[in-house]
Amino acid sequence: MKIFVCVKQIPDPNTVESKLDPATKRLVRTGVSLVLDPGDETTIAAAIKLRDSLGNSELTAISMGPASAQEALRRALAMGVDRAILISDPALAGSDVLGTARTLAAALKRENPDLIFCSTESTDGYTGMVPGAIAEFLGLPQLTFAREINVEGTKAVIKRVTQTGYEVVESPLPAVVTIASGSFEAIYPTMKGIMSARKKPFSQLSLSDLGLDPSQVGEAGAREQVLSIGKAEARAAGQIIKDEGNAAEIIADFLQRHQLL
Amino acid sequence: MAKTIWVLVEIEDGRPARSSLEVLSKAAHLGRAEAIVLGSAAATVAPSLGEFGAEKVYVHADPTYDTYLTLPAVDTLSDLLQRQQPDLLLFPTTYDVRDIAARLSARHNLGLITDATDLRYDESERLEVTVPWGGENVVVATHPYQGTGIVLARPKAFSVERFEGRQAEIEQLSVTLRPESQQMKILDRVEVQSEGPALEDASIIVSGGRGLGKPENYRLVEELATVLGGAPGATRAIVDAGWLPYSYQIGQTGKTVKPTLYIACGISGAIQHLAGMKGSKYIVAINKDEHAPIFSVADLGIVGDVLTVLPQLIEEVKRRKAQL
Amino acid sequence: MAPPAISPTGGWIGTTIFVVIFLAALTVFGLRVGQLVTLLAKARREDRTDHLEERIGDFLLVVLGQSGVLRDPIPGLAHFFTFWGFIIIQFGLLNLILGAFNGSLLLIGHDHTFAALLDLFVLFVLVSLIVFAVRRGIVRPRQLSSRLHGPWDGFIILGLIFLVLLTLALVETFGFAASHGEEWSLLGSWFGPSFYGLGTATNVALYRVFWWAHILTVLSFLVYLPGSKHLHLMATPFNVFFRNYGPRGALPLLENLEEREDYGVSKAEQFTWKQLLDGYACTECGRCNTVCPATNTGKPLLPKEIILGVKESLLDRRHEIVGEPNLFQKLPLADVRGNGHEEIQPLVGGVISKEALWACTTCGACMEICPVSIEHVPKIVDMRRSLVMEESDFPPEVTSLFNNIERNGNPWEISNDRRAEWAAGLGVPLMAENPEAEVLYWVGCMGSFDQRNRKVATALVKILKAAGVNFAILGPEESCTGDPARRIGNEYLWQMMAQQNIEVLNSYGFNTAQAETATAQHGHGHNGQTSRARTIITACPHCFNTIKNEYPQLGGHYEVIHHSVFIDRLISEGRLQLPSGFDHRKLTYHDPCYVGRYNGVYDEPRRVLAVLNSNGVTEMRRNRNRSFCCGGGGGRAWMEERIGKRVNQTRVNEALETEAEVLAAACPFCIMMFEDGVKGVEAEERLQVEDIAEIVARALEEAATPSATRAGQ
Ligand SMILES: Cc1cc2nc3c(=O)[nH]c(=O)nc-3n(C[C@H](O)[C@H](O)[C@H](O)COP(=O)(O)OP(=O)(O)OC[C@H]3O[C@@H](n4cnc5c(N)ncnc54)[C@H](O)[C@@H]3O)c2cc1C
Ligand code: SF4
Ligand code: SF4
Repeated sequence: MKIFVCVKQIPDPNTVESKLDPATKRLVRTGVSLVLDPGDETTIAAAIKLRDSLGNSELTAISMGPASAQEALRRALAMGVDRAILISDPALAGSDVLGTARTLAAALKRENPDLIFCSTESTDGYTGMVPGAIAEFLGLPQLTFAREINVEGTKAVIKRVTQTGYEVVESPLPAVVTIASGSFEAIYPTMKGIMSARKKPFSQLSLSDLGLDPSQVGEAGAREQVLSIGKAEARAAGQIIKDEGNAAEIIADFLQRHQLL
Repeated sequence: MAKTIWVLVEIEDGRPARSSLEVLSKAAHLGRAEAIVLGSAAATVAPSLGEFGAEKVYVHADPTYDTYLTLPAVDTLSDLLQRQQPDLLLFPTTYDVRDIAARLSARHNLGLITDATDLRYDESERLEVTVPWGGENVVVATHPYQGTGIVLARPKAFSVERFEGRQAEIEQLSVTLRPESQQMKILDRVEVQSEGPALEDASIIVSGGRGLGKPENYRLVEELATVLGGAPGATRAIVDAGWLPYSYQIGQTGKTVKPTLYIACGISGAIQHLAGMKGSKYIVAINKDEHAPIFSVADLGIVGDVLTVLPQLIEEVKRRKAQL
Repeated sequence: MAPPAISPTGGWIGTTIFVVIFLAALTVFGLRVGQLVTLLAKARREDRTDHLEERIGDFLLVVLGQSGVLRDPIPGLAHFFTFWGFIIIQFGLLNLILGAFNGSLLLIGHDHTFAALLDLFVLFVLVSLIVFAVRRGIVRPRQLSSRLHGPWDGFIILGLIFLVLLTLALVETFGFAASHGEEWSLLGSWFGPSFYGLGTATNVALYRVFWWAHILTVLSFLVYLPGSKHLHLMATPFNVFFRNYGPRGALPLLENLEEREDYGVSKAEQFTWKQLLDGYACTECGRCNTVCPATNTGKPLLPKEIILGVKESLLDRRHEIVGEPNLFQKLPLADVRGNGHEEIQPLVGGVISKEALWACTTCGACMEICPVSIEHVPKIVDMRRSLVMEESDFPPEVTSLFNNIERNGNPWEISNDRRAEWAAGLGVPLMAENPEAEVLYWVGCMGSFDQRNRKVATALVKILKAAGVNFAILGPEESCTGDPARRIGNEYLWQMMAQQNIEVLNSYGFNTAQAETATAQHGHGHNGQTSRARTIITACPHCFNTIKNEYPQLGGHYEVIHHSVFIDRLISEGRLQLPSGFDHRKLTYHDPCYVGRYNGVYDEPRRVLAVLNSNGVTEMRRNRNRSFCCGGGGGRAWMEERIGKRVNQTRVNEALETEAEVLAAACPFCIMMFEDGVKGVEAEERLQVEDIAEIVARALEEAATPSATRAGQ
């Protein structure tokens, strides 16, 4: 089977507060450490597990991003992915959900995938819309929020997380599958993995390779526009208050102010 | 001219879902709210929606929507969009609706703004959507084109309101559902017995430490977690002491959690504990020692006795929840 | 060479038979030993010929003087006499063998003094044997049970030795009787005359019978030995000679990471020959088990089993390693489970369980006590390396540690930019601001980020200021040293961190190798001040050890000292004026493994504490080089402790036994473990955990405000 996994490089969510540049209104990508999205690490783990259990399958990681996203793909290769594709083009900068999905779908289409893994949502953007849009562009069914996936013949069956438990959902292949965060343990790369990642096939594509018109993607094709960026209601630096009998109210006010009730 | 806003209303246990009604109420404030209800229970739910702000309700009571995910609903909405051009699709953020919105957006090239906490039309009738960004920033965004756009609203961003006496016009849709779109089939629905969400998934965690004094007092933590709709957690100290199983342990060698809200009750805040919960969005700490390290990461710290504060807080939260 | 009084073989036919048997036995022995040596030859190479003079000196002391085993007096003494008895008895044996060729040792053959000495030793050895037998058969210490050899192995050996002595006594008796005293020996002179009555012919016949019996017993012993645990008799001297003379705290470097085929050890033959020789040399005394914190708290780790497990696995696979065995090589070399019959188990996760490997705190207590200089920790880490770097198989909680060290330069999800935040307002310059600083204070991750250890860092700053030390910190330029990663088995990550830190340290001119060339070039190395001026101090023994002993492997040579030593130095140089005996609380001191055992610092911290405390230091049951680990080393501080008793609580209980009110420590991890352990045993009211720097800083405050209430009053 030809299995794909869509991944993304993001600023390390654990240490940097993601920064939007007020001038360009884009994610700041310099001066902060960039990592393979931790959510994608678990998705890759799910894909590797499936590939290994199916046998005779190839797993390709695909990413759209600047040249630096190579590093994220190398990590994916080190984890055990077989091949990587990076779609990089200046015209892609500022792509929105649709631009991203259109680009990824165009690249995937050339490959005739049987199964496409995505994370349910990226850790930095958390729109969770890209996988569904890819599925739509490719005309494929989408199996979302999977915490378990099995392939049975030409069908995929997943356990789909719900508020109260899960649903068992099946669909024919090819299909797009999104993996619910926390359902799989990320794989820490072995040295063999790290070393062989340097030798595994790695291809880079530009927009023209995909036959996409620059007006459909990037800033040009964006269907959303940021009007302004402001500071959130200044997050009062840790208030410490002595309980004088009204602590419960203070806490409840705090919860209400932050829409936590 | 009043904007026409469509809201996809989901059904939960035979009633309109709360998250849908929140959005419907907001839509009714912004313009002319029209609801779309799909599925076998749609007909019974539809008449009640006027009261929550809908001027019109599109109904298609077909069980196909219950068995097949996403695609039938996308087809129906798509069909409807061919016939009419609403200004906005304002949807709640739920598992199913997210999937529908993504495909709809791709199919009709509709701009998509997610995680909205507020939205309005400015004087020039331009849509302005507020989206929190990475804890410190808020972004105001819009759809930079004429025509329909999609906005997904964050749960609990708006409150449910009653529009007394409003009667919605009901239109039965007569679409035929395409067999090609019946692909993602639900084979089974399984309810997993649990008191609340699992720690890793919970957006609210109430956690207890040795400051609770004795095992019986952990009940307070559980109760607060329940009323807040969150999960209870613990430090290793009380897991070790045998109050709770290891699965409750949060920290370096337990679970790493990043909920929206973390309430630490009687927890000193040793580095190994912090390692597992520091990434929480809001941290509230109750500790009687004002020098406890937990306060160094707290957004709100209460220097006080957990055994006094917790029972009061439980009551207060119950009271306010009832008012919402 | 004088002929013996009686020819033991009775002529050339007997001598020929003797020669044939003797050569056959020698051949079998040689083949068996040869196989053992071949196994070593096939193993990894490692140079152990450095420090040659010291090696020779120590060899004499340890092997000939038996200084290792003597530390455990009763079995030690027995061992001492057995050893020397054996050597001397060999001369007797040689003499008997020469008899077959109508000769004898000229010098001693007819010398009553030597003959008497020999027999005295025979008697000594007999007494020792009784001690051994009692110990093995009646006392049965648990640490003596063996995985490779059934209990009979010990008895066979004891039995054979007993037979050797018995037949020797009989040979001497009848030799004396047959030769009417011409073949003099002490035992012969005691018992021989009683047999005169048998007649010379009978006595000669009996003499020959027992001569043969003696020779055959000795030869059986020889053939049996290589497959017995008493192989150590032969291997130990070599093992002691080739022991590690490098810094004890340094794990071996895994070279050439980019091009290696393997990363660590998953098969016995991937160890170096010296690591495998350890297995031959293990006397199975089990001393290491008795001191191991893991063993003592019910973990599935017994250091002796690690050593024997490696040996077992090696012997299990010997045919695979050496090739098709010949007939003699098929003789079992140990009572090994596999022995080529059953399915061979893998070394890691089979013969040695993964849980055992993860339980080790790398405290080094096992290596410290081992009488034959066996190196447990490098083996354990080598196998961990394979698990981590080849299998990605380690306790799940460690993943975030690795990722964080790699991405953030510290073990937590904290941006390293915030590394100097603890020092805000303390007036501590960054190295970048004060590049000429006399002393670099390496704060370490715990001191930088952990609230508890920030107090220690603050206290140390106070001390440095009071002593007028011109110092600075690196702040965000400092990263985790990589110590936990290395000890957990992630050599790659350690090398990454080490290189990064070495670059930073070199850029400020701390590298002594560079400094020397620099001073040589510029010619201003005035009275040794230069090296003194570039000192690194740290309160973290793990940073201390790895920078001092391991960074040199990657070219980073620094003068690093632990803060306890530095404080002691400041006091002795008079730079720090402390009120003596200001603290009246009863205090005990815990030796951190990487300060004590690994770096030999025992006296300095005690000296400092003894000045300050009116009661001096009350020692715990296990102290100095026998100190019991806090449980946090070897990366254990980052793993859950799921099995058995808690190590930290065990140690806290030992501190409580002394009735001390203060448990003084000198390591951030010890502090963390003890703070947690004190809570665990609910002794917060009774026992305070304090770093030595905190105690000194308080003394300084005391000195500044003499009227303040004295601590503990
Ligand atoms: C190897 C290792 C791994 C560890 N891993 C973890 C881990 O994963 N997770 C973890 O949590 N810990 C872990 N720990 C333990 C950690 O070091 C701390 O000991 C532990 O977190 C302390 O738990 P606590 O805060 O409940 O207890 P304490 O530290 O005893 O804190 C109790 C707090 O309650 C306050 N208090 C007391 N009474 C009251 C009252 N009536 N009202 C309000 N406040 C009160 C006190 O002021 C105090 O601050 C680990 C330790 C080690 C050694
Ligand atoms: S280093 Fe310490 S913990 Fe590890 S085996 Fe030796 S004694 Fe046991
Ligand atoms: S390793 Fe050393 S201490 Fe342990 S049993 Fe063997 S000889 Fe004894």
